[in-house]
Amino acid sequence: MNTAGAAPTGGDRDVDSDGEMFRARVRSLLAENLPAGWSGIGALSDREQEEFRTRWRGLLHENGLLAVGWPIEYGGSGLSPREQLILAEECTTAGVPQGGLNDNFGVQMLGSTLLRWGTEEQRRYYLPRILSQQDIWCQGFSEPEAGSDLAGIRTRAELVEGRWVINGQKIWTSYGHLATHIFVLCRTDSSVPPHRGISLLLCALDQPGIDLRPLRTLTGEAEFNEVFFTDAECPADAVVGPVNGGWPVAMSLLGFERGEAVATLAIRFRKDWERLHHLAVDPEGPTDPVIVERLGRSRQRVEELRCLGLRAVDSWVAGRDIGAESSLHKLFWSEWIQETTELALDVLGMEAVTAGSDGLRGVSFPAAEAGTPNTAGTWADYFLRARAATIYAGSSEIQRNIIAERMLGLPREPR
Amino acid sequence: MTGVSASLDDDQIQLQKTLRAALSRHCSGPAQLALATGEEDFDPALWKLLLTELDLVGLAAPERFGGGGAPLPVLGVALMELGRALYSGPYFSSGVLTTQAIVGSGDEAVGAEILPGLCRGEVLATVAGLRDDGPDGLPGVGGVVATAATADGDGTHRLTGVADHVWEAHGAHRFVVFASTRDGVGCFLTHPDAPGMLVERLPGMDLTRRLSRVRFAAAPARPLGALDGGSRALARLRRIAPVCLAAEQIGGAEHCLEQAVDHAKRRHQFGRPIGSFQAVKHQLASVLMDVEAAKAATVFALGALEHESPDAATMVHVAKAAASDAFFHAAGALIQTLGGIGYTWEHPAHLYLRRAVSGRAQFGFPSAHRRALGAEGGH
Repeated sequence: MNTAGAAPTGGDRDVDSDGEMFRARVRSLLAENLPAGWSGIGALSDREQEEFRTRWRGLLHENGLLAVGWPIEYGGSGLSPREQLILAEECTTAGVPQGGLNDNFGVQMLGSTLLRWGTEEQRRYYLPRILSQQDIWCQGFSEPEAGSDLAGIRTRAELVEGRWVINGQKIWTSYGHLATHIFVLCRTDSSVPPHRGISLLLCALDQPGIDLRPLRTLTGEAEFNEVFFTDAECPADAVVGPVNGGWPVAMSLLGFERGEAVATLAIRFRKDWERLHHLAVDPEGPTDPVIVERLGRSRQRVEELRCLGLRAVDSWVAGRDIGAESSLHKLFWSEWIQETTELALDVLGMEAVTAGSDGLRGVSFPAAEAGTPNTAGTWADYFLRARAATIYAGSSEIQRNIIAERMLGLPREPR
Repeated sequence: MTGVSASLDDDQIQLQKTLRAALSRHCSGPAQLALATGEEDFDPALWKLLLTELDLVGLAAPERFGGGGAPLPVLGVALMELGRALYSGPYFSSGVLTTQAIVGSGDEAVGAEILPGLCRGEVLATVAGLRDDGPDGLPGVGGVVATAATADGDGTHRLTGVADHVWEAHGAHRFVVFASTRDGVGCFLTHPDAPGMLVERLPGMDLTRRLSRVRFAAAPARPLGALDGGSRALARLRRIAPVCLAAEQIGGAEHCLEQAVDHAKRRHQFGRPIGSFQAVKHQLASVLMDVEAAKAATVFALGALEHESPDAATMVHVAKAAASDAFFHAAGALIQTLGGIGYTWEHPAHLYLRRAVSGRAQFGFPSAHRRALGAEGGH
C-alpha cells in the first residue's frame, strides 16, 4: 500500500501552515503512480480511461484522498481547505481525476448533504458505502416539466405500508447507467405551496419499478439518462432532512461548491487555451490579427477566472460562504467554453466541419481533459458539448436572476 | 504560495471605507459637473483633503523621499476610490506617473529634489512624451526628440517636438519628459517656464481629465538618471501606469453599476420596479460579472507587479483590457438604465462615460492588450 499521500496528522499541520509539505506528498504520490511521459487522462482511449479511473479512484481511496472534505470519523480525510485546494491543483495540473465519475454525486453532493442534514444512523450507514462503492449514486432532480423551475416537480412519493412508493419521471440524470442508487426529489404533499411539499428520498435503482433509458444528446452520445418510476419503492427512513422539508436540503445539495472548483477550472482552461494557441498561431508566419485578438480575449478571460478563483479560495479558507458568487463563476466559465470553442471552429475552418468522429474521448465535464489530442475532431466535439454549458447546473438566465437578486439586491420577478 | 492575492486584505478594506466616506462629501454629482465645466483646473479644497486629511499624495513614493512607501495594492485601493468619485485633478499625474517615472529612473538626486515637495503637495508634476498606441498596447515614446551638447557646448540637453495628450499639464510645476535620443529612450526634467515650452490645452471628451499638447522648441532640460535612466523609467511606467489606470477604472465601474442598481430599484414603470424586469436585471448582472472579474484581476496584477512575479507582464495586459471594458460597459449600462434622465447634461452619468472613453485609449486599448496576450503564447 502506498502511503505517500496520507492525510497529515494535526501535528503536521502546525509546521505546514502553507501546506507545502502536503503538496510535496501529493506530488510524490503522483510521480510514483503515473507512467513516464504522462500528459493527462485525455490522452487515453475510452477503454484505457475507464481502467485508469478505476485504478486511480482506488489509489486515492487507499491514501485517504477521496472524501477530502468529510470528517475522519466517517472515512473522510478531514483536510483543511488549503490542503483540499492543493490536492485539487496538483491533480488538475497532472491531468488525473479526483475520483470516479459518480463521486461528484456520491461524495460531493450526497455525502456533504448527509453530513449536514442526515441522521447519525444515515451517516453511519450510507457514507462508508459511498466510499466502498457498494452504493454508486446519481441525481434525480430535473423533470421534463421542471427544469429551471425545479420546485414544479411532479414525481410523487406516498407512504404506503411503511414504504415510500414513487411514481413519475426524471431526466438529465448524468451517469445513471453507472449508478446503483438515485437521490430523488419528490413531491410528498400536493396540498401546500410547491416549495413546502418536497422531500429528498434515497432509492435503489435495481428494482422492477425503475426503468432507466439512455438519452442521446445533440453530440450523438448518451451520457445522460431518463429515469421512469412506476411504483418504485424505498424505505420510510430513506429521506434526507424533514419530510416535506426537502427544498432547503435540495438547495444546499446544489450549493456544495468548494472554493477550489473554479480555481482548478482555470488550470484546465489554460491547458485548452495553450492547445488552441498552438493550432492558431504559426510561429513562422503571420496570423490573422483578428484571430490573435480573439485568442488574447480568451486568455484574458482565463486569467480573470483564475483571479476570481483565488479570491473564492481566500473566502473559503477564511471560512466565509461565497454564496451567490458561485453563480457568477458559473456564468463566467460557461461563457468562456462557448466563446473559446467557437474561436477554435473559426481557426479550424473546414477542418472542423469535416472532422471525423474521433471526438473528445471518454467524459470531460465541463472542459476537455488534460492530454486531449489537439485535433479538429476534439475541438468540434468540444464545441458541440459547450452548447450545454449555459444550460446545465442552472441556465445562464437563472444565474443572472440569482446574481441580480442576491448580489445586487434587485427585486424579484413577480411570480 | 506567491503572496500575490486577488482579494483586498482587512487593512485595505479599512482604507477603502475611510476614503469612500471622505470623498463622497466632496465628489457629489453637482460638484463633479461644476468642476468639469468650470474654469478651474482642479478643486483646491479637494487637493488639500487628499494631502492633509487623507495623506494620499505621496502614498506610494519611497519613504526616503517623504512618501508613504505603500505597496502597489494599497495605491490601487486609493485609485479605485478616486475613480469611483470621478476625482479630477493632478493626483494621477503627480502621485502616480511622475513619482513612478522618477523612482524608475534611479535618479536619487532628482528624487530627493522633487519628490519631497511633490509628496507635500507643493509641487505638481506630470509626464510628457508617452504615446499610448505602442504595438503591444503599452506606452511607448514618441514625439519629443532630445539633443545634447548643442552649439553652446555646455552639455545642456534640449528638447524639440510635440508631446500630445499630457495629463494635467496646466498648473504643473515640473515635467518629466520622455524623448528619443541618439542613445535610445531618454527621460528629462524641465519646467513650464523654460524657454521654448508651450502648453496648449486640448479640447476633450473627458471633462474631468484635462489633456494638453506640450510643444518643445529647443527647451533646456536635465537628464534623469544614468545613461539607461530613461529606459528604466519607461519600463516601470509601461507596467505600472496601465494597471493603476485599471484600478481607477474599477472604481468608476463600481460606481456606475451601483447608481444603475439604485435607480432600477426605485424607478417604477408598469406598476413595478424596473429592476424586477429580466431585461434590466440581466444586463446589470452581466456588468457585475465583468466588474468583479476585472477587479480580481486588477488587484492581483497590482500584487504581481509589487512582488515582481513571473506573470506580472501578462497580468498588466489582462487588467487593463478587462477594467477598460468593464468600465465602458458599466457606464453604458448606467445611461441605458437611467433612460432619458441619463441623457441629460445635469446627470453626472455622462462624465463617467467620458472618463471611460478616455481611459480605454490611454495606456493601450483593450484590443491592443488582447493582441499582445494572443501573440504571447504559453510559457
